Amino acid sequence: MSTARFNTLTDASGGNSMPVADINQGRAKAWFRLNGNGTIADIDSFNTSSYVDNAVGDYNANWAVVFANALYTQIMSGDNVTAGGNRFSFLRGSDAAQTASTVRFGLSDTSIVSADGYVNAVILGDR
Amino acid sequence: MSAVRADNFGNRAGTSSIPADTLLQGTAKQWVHFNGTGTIAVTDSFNTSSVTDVGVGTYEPNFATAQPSTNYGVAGVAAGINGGLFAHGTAFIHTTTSYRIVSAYPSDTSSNTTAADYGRIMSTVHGDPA
Repeated sequence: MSTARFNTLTDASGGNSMPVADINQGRAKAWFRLNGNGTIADIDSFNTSSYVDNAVGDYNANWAVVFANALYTQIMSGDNVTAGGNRFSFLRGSDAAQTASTVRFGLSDTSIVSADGYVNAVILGDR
Repeated sequence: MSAVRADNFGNRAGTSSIPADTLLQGTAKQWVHFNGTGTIAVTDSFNTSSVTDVGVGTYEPNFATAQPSTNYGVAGVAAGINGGLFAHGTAFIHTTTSYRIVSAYPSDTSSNTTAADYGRIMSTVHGDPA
């Protein structure tokens, strides 16, 4: 495996310069889009090993390479393009529901009732 | 300080590459995970000097290094036992040094919400490199 070591990354014109440390902090460590209708289907993902269907609108994502800690940030949105209807997305449970290896999250419909649908997520943090 | 200038970066096998501008534009320029109940406690963050408690469910993350413009985007979530909602509207503060966010819960089924503090609030900023 080859590794390039340097401090700053710049485009060829000399603009858009960023320290490598900032790029590493700012890059997504995982992301996914899943379809939670019926058996969970991974539509596409990065660093996601599997999902758990806890109940209607209640899921876990497991990380292929675990995070350094449970302190990471997860940004999400929900939709339900297959069946129609909007979905609110949210992190479920207490702080303990988020660990270095998994996170629990869910969806509700516009009547604030748990419902299945699609979840889009980006995770930033230390890994 | 060493710097690499290139148009593209790829793996050694040549099977995967990414334009430098895509990499530089696509990385988050700030993110923060904090506890908004009581005295604000930052759980983890990047490029965040502090988070100001403006009021119930209302916060302002402050950048450690300012953004080059106010044209950045903000996204986030608010989480508690019963879930939560996250908002960053154009009427809110949005400067090169900070931005305002609101966490809330749905008060009814008519899209009304009530601002509330939450234990897990997470936000991220994407925009131009400095």
